[in-house]
Amino acid sequence: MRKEELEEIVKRADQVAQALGGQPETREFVSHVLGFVKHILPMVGELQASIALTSEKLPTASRQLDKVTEANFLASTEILDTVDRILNQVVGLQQWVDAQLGDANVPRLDALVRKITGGQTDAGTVAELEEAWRAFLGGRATPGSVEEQSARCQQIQSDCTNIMIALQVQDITAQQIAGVNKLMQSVDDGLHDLLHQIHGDERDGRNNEYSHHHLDIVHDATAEYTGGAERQEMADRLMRGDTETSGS
Amino acid sequence: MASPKFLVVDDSLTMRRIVINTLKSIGYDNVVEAGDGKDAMAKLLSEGADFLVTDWNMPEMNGLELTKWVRATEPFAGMPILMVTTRGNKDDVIEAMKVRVNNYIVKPFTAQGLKDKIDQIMKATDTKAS
Repeated sequence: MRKEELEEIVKRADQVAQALGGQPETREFVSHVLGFVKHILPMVGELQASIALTSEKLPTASRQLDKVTEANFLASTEILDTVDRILNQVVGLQQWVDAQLGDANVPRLDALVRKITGGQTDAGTVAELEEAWRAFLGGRATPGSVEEQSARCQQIQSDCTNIMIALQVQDITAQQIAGVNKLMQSVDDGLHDLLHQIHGDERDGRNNEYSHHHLDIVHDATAEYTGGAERQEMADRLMRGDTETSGS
Repeated sequence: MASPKFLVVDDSLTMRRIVINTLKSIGYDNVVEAGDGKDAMAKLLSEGADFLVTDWNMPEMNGLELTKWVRATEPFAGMPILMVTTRGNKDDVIEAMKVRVNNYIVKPFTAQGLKDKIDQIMKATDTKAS
């Protein structure tokens, strides 16, 4: 019911009360109705103003959510770029460490020993063997230390993979935020319908207020970032055909 | 034996990078990518692939529709398909099974989880082939 209609009721009730001046019971009843309508009249105004204000704030909140998603995306991209660079460095380092372990010299030593035992005992071949042998010994000189570095490289690679894996949070929260944006849009639609009922305004299409680059994605409302493995275990049971124990 | 060629399909650039890098970290370097089902169809038709890793929720054509298309299209019909998705309800898994995905991972996944699923599929495919 619109505010103007309520004001009209107040006006009419006043007229009825005056017309029924001599009948106390009827006059008391009309007076109650009049009091009630007068009481809710300002509330309708406040409700209308509150709905209008909330409805104005919702699109602003939607834009802020878009910025949050964009910031998450940019930060994730930067972290992934950094992890890529670290991984590339570590792969190079790992190769160097592996070479230091001396294994790289083994095929060379083997070939030279074959040459010499085959009769090729010239000074150049012997000198080359000596150099390869020293390189091999150099690699083996501090095996504990080199092996330690190798283990560190592997640990860094493993940590980098874990950082990447954790960045799935960006995709999952983007879907959750897109879901919240849809909910906000539907609340705003409801508020606009109410305003239309109260005020009689033509309903304006505000879909574009909620249409943002990072929020307009095909999302899953059930997406969640959990450390638990329950959902995966349920999927595994179903995939194995173990429907009896798969739960809901 | 040459490393199998993976096609990774996801509308999220972050997720594509994560899946591709994880595949590389477990020894699969031969990877191409697509942003949705239609893009994946085009990639399959133009350059082929041996293994499909696909998201479910995507614009244009989702992972379920892509799987149906793959299963109905030679020479891809027997291709191993791993679905990697946030959809972790029982009904979702059953729907994916109906279109004959080979395995199903609920995001967020771990590197070991992805490796295990790929190994399982590879093993099952090898067993069928032999």
